[in-house]
Amino acid sequence: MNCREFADRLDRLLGDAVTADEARRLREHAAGCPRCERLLALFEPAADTCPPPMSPPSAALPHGTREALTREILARTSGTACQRAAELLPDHADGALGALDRELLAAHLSTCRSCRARALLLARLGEILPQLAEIEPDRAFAAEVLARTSHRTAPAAGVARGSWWQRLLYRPRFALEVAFCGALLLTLVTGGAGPLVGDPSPGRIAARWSSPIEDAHRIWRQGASVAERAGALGDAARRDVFEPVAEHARGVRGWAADATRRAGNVLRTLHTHAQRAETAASKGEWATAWVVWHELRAALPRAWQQTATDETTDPTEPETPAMRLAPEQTESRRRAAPRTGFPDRMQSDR
Amino acid sequence: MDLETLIERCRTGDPLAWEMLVRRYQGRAFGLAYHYLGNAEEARDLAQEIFVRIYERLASCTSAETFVPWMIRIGRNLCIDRLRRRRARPQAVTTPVEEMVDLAADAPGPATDLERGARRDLVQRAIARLSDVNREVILLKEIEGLTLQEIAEMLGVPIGTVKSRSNRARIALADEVRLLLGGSA
Repeated sequence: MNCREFADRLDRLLGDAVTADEARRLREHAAGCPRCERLLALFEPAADTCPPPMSPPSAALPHGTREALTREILARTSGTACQRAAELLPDHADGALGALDRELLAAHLSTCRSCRARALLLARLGEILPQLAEIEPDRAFAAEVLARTSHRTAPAAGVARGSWWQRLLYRPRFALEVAFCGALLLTLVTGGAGPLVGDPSPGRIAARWSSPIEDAHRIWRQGASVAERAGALGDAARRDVFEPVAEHARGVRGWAADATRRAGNVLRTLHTHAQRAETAASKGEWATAWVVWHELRAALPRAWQQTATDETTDPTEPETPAMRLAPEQTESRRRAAPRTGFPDRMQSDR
Repeated sequence: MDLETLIERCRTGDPLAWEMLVRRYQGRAFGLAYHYLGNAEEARDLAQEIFVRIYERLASCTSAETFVPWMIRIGRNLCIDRLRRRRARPQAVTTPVEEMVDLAADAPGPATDLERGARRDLVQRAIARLSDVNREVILLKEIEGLTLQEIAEMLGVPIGTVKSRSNRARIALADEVRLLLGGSA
């Protein structure tokens, strides 16, 4: 008997008792094969015709009766232990079970045919399953793979080791992320999913999606127009308001200086006469004081008249060449703002 | 030639190295696809897709030790995509691996390989009867031989969850085999 025949016989005997003759033949083979010996050990309790390892406390209680009694007791107390045994069987098959659990499980397997069959199958599956990893396809398979890869460029050795943006492009979710960001950006720019709500007609959707662009263009045009108008207004203000104001200010300043000079002359005359009158009076020169007094009285009207004559000069009249305006412009400005001196354009703008 | 050298030569664009890599791992790729899809024709096409993907992204495989888990990860993702499309648009006809001989009548096909032992066929059928969760953990751990850590990272679950799933799946598989043998689970 070889190992294959041994395994086939065990498979056929799953769940069934092994006769003494079969057990002998199996044991003969297992004696020289450690792997089969380990498999046979799972069957030993059933194959073994010897008494069970634990002798019954009373020789008067037959083995079958004892098992039935055990099942009844377990049914009335903890229930069957097969579930717990099933939890331990995979580790038992892997040889990863602790000593205590191994002993408890062995005791259970010695009396539970179902769990023993499971244990045997798990051991057999542990040998068969790795063999299923490779299923050779037909001979044309490799040629087809080579044909599918031959027209491509060489294995992209440099891609994963390339620059960061190349690695970014080759990420599995790159296309999805780009699509998401694009959709988000489009939503933000166009103001959400408005066109998808309500009337879904193509014309409305097109109008809804194109209107923000038109709005932006119109605002841009309006902004340019406003800026142009603001620039023209600034030029006009500089030409019509600030320069004339500066001219008037210069004229007023000149007139004030001249008036101050003339007033100073009048006051100095008055001061001289008053001082002479005071001196004569203090000295008792009444005649002299009288004359001076009359001169002072005569000088006051002249000084007043002189000042009044000086006032007839228009203080707003420009005196420098740069301040000269056209006569009609000066006249109109004088009519429009004779007191304040502000130009007409400023008043009209206000 | 060891795998690391082979991969390095493939990265340089050596067609002979690439052919050797394909021949060495085509069985793993086809087996993985077949266990996921359960259809030999579809698995054959998807196995080719796996190699095309490997060819395009070989530079991202960091070492020879991680090549097989990396290939399995690629294959798993492709299989899941294919299964999703299949569920969205069910196929009218499915081709089991037993009929693969019709696809390659002039050569011993995978069916021949599968039918070398009735035991493997029996286990194959038992795996097909498992739930998706149990079948995947049996496939990744018991068949492909990935570690619990690798499976946990691939599935995005804790190691303890993988361990308990694996134990339950193995018991379920043993019961399915026993049912197919005519016993009771």
